[in-house]
Amino acid sequence: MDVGRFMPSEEETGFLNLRIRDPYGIADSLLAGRFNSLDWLDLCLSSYELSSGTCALASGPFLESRIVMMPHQVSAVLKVIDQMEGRALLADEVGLGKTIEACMIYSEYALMGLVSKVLILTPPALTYQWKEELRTKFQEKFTVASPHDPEFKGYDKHEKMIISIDTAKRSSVKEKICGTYWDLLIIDEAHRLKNSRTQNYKLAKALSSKYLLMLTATPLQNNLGELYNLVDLIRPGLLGSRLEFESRFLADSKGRRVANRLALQELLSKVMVRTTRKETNLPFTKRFSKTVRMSSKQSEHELYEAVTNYVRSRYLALPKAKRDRAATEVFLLITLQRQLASSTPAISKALRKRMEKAGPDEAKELGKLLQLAKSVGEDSKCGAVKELVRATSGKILIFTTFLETQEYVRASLEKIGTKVACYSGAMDEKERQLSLKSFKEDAKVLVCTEAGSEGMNLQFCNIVVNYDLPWNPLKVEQRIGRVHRLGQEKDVYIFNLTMKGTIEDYILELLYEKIQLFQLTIGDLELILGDEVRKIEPKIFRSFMERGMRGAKREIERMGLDLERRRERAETVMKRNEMIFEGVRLSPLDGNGSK
Amino acid sequence: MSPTVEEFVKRYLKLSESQAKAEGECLFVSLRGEPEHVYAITFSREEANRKGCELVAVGSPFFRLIAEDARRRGVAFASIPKVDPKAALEKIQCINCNFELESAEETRQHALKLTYLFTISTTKRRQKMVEVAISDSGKELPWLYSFRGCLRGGEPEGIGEDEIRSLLERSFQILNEKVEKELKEIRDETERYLSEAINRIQSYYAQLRDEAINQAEFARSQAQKGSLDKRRGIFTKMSYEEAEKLIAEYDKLEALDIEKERSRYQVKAEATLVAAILLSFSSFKCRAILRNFNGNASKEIVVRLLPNGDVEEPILCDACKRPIGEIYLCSNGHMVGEECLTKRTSIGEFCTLCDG
Repeated sequence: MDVGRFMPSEEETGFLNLRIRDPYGIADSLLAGRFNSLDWLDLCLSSYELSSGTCALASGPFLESRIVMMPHQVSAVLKVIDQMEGRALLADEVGLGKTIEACMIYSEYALMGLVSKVLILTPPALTYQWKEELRTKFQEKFTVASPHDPEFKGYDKHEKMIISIDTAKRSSVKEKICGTYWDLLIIDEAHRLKNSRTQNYKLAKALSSKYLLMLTATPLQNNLGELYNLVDLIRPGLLGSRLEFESRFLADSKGRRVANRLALQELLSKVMVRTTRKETNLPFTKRFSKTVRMSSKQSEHELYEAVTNYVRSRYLALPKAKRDRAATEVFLLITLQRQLASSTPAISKALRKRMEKAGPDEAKELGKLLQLAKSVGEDSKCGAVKELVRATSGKILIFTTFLETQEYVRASLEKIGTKVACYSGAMDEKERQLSLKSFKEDAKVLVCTEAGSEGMNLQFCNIVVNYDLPWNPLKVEQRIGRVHRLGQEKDVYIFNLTMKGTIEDYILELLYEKIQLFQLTIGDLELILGDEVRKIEPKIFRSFMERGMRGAKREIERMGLDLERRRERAETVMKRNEMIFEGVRLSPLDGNGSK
Repeated sequence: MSPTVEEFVKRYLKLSESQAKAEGECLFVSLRGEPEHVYAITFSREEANRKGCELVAVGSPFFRLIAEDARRRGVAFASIPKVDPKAALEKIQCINCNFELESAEETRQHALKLTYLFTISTTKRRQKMVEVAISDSGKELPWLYSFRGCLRGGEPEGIGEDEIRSLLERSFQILNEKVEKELKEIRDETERYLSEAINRIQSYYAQLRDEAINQAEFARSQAQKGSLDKRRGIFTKMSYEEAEKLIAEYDKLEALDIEKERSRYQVKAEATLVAAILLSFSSFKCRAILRNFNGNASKEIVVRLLPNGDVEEPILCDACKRPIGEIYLCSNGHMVGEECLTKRTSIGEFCTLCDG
């Protein structure tokens, strides 16, 4: 509530610049004679005294209970708030938690009451990741500007919105978001704005905000001119005109070497924070992966072939237009194919469900498939996972995509006397907390679905089993990221279970192993994949359906080569950034990993 | 000293008569307004990690919930116990005299003490609590800011809604006077930052315009020499017309960037009313005789005693007309302070006015 009915308006009192507020109706209570005891009055004043805080970060105590704040992150947040007036390029090396830093800055400003309208621009693949990160770690409710987010009501209807940069560029959307003065604008993967002639850049230039955070591990992809463009968005004119900048700081015509390093450092230190892994002194553990490839039993092979043929016939029966734009029917068929690869109970349930709605002929066909599923008995992967659990002494995190598979794995492991906890999006918050507690304390295994797993901190566990394998490498990375993150002190072991000759087997061999997915450091993947990630799953499925296993294999091989090139390119860019910023100290740390 | 979050929460639970059951370091709380909901809270981080209950800290959901409730209850009434006029007069420091109380006339008064949270935000935020204390005659009561005496609860008498409303209105004026200076300083500082930012932007765009003109001039000179076709430059391929277009574009961008900076450096000043206490108190108009120890001089004095025992208007020195620290009453009835005594080390101290 703003100014109460007894409060004068600014004009009335002549206090043209002082706004008087009474959000708790103190004046009304006073006038109505609603008095409380002196103890309440004292407690009321104490609440303000506590909130004013004396520690470096006002939001510190709250955040401490939800996230592990690293010294370099706290220093970066303080530097951005105290010295950069909230406009900065957060350019830490990959894996140092830039997203967390940005969210911490937001939290701090929000607690101070300086920020209420927030816009986050991200690549399309990361919108929901941001939403979950903010929800689970910061208890902040943001809406993704997408029809897929049920909370989304319109581009001008939300104060806290996450929007993909591709959507934001559309003229109707751009008009709406550019017409708002945002308190805070966060641009993730800001290297996408490197070129000042692109729509991305023009959009960023047209947006107005009090505070601006741009996040990228690689502020320049090719040359220093790109860094100039980014800084120009944050503080136009800081680096002078482009010609002046080039003549002052470029040591070669390609802009890949720096002249006047110290002068550049001085200017950049006003808008840029960059901490390297070396400067943090944090332990960065390794990842080791092992693929357990199993030969299918005859019954498993027959089931795989039969269901795949069923899916293919359904897919090919769809009109071409639907196939091309990945309609709901296509999505359902992809899911069916993935349920098949996940476990027999998962595919059985899916087939039964389809049977309920199917016509007589299709129902008959589905009935035969169900009979085949019944003949499988125990899945070969299940036998392998039991062996793995028996042979391992530490805690194990097993990921399954589907709830039926989760339940199947749980029941199978409990039969051999293993204490198992489960975690899924179907559980409520209390059940999830109890599960995590159980895993931490006495359960040896946590069987987890991806849904709802965001925000879990499981650094006490270092063994991950992919019981089934997502077709999207980002999802694999998110799974591993639950244990391999800042704060993990041991090397992480990843076991992938696949059946020989299946599509997942090829994805693993020709795609994931090619880009060395399981050896990547935290955060690398986004840099490598870019928007390509969204296309992987439908592309594989389409080629599998239209050209069979051989066609799919070729497609996956081609993708693998493409991603391999992307990986090499990303490595070159990272090295280039390291080289250019070598000797340019922009970290708020003192070099010993402390403030 | 500020209370800790734990002290705050426990006091809240007690005052609100909420149910709380401890289990180790975890506290299961049912708030009075919603008995069906159980909050599991803790003040220990280890416990929060282990049991999955909420670590209560500033900004955490449970803290926010109870702080909001406490903040709605920041209105109280209290009366200040009466001061004993005789004892209060005895406390006035005298060198060679003392007070004899003749009469004390009591006046019942009301006061309103309001606490505002004053916030100034530009790109940063500064906050402080500002108190405004006024009597029912609209006069500011400086003594009330430091008053630490005991207060008694009760019900207000003899003050109505209209009087309180006019006190509230008066408090806004006093508040404005109190924050005016600080507000001005911050405005000046922000103006300075803004003008630096505007200068940076203006010189940046001036440079861009110069560069565009230079390139176009160069292109034109090359064209005149015939070394280039169609008035185009070597490096930039910019014609004079293109340069003009670019300059117009720079003008627009410059105006936009300056506008953005102006928005960023806008000063917002807010005063949020956070608590109010209505007080009733008695002041005494005392008629007293000041008599020196020799008994050869006396003087009648009228003082108004405040509830904290201080005199409302300070007693002034007859010589320098400034407030007296310790009173000296000379044989001729002059009341002077220590500083206005002439010191004659061999025979003592004498009144500056009359040597008495």
